[in-house]
Amino acid sequence: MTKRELEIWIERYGQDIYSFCTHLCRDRMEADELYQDTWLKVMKTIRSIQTEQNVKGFILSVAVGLWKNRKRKYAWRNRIAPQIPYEQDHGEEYISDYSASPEEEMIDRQTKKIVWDAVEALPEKFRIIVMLYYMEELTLPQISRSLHIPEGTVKSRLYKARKILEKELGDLYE
Amino acid sequence: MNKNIDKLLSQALTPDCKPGDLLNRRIINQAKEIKDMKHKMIRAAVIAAAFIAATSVTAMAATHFLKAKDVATELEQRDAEAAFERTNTDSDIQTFEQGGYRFAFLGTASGVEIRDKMSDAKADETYVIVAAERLDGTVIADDEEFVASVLIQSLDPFEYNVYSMGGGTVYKVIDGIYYMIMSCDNVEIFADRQIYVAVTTGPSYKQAYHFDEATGLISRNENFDGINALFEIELDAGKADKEAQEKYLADLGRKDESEPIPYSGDAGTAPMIEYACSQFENEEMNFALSVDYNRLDDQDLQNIIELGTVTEQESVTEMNGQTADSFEDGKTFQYSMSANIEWITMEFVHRNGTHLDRFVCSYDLNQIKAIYGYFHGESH
Repeated sequence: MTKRELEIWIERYGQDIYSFCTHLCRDRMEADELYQDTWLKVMKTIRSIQTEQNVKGFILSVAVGLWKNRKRKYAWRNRIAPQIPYEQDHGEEYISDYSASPEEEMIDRQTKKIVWDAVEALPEKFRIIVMLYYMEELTLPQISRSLHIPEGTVKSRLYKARKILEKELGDLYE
Repeated sequence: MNKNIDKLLSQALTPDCKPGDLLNRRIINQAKEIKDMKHKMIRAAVIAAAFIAATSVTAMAATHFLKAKDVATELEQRDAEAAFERTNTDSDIQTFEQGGYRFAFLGTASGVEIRDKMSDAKADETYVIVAAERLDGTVIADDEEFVASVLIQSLDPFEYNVYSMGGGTVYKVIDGIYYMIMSCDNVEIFADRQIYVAVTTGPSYKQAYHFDEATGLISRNENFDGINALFEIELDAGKADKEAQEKYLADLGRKDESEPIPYSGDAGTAPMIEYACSQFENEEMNFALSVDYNRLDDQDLQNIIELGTVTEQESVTEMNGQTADSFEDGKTFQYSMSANIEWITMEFVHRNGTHLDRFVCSYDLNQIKAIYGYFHGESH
């Protein structure tokens, strides 16, 4: 993979991957690190990606794998040196492409925050699938391949996650 | 399904965070450095290959390596720092060269005698500090990892190692040298036996080392294709405690014999490995395991299970091993497995009377070590 190819991929998928890392880690510094490590690992394993494959799904899969690795290491190391758990961080650098009045934009931001709070309160196995499906717009088979879990499991978790979110967010659309 | 929730989620959950230009630039620059380094490494590997066969442990003056206590300080391990406060670090250190690396055993210490300065949980642990550096002088990369383990004469390394003896590890690359602190249950009670420190890249103790059942001595397998450093270390024989040895081994044995509770469920809630000893053989992995079903409510456990469930075989190799195990209560729990260097997949069949459950789990091999260490330590 050449430097130029990497630049093109970062340009094409950077925001998607970075948003995913940010919401996955819920901490900006952790997200920066995960985002960086994800690209570097992708670069190292680039030979195994075929152009016709779902590149974004592959990169997200790498990000999830690295993140889970980190969690294991964190747990493992924590036995010797307890560390401060990361805190939830809704960054201030969210991008708004919403061309509306300041009031409408504020409501939009508030709505997003409420939805994100509800999503982030989900059990991790639901949260990741919700993020991949709604935010990254991966299909069920793509999520299945990215997470190495059966498509039926993806469906089932998505269904359960929706049920929880319906209950939590009903006021926003009813 | 309510379409409104779909719409709301699609609208609200947008990729709304943009990476900074500096961050992207740093990644591109690092990618270039890695590419350049790969080229250098290939050349270095050719040169190093000629020396791989001529490996032996040597003693050298502790020159450029940090002293054990300083490693503990750098890694911010206060208990280890206290434990190494009293050790003599001016003596020669043992080094071992293999595979383009020089490994150095920097010291061992225990918190038993300074219990008052240690946190309760750490007072009964042994610490070992090991360093690794590249012979060609290049910097150790972030993704290179080694595992140090104490091994004990007359105890099979396959069964008694850092993974089974309450081990944990932390590491940090300082000035291009990899420093690692390994802690495990206190082994000073075995000081009347030969104690070893092994350095590997994974839990490959069965293949990496010979265990002489007659003498109990452990040695390197010269034909092992991988890192298998071995240092012989001396502990104060006066600290040996036969009674404590017997109790410790009996307790450890009980851990292995814990009986699984029958489980019924789908792959999404499959049980987690409670105990695992593993070995590599031609890039295959075999497992001795028992399974703890008790902790399915544990969120962390579910998270780990999450990375496992697999029905598609595209990320794993074909099945290449089979085995079975029986338990005394008449229930049978069988597993077959396959693995390549990155993944292990296990197909479980659980028979309970006429009832039969089947599910498949796959685990990222790189994570097995951490998974194992974490749960083994917590579960008793």
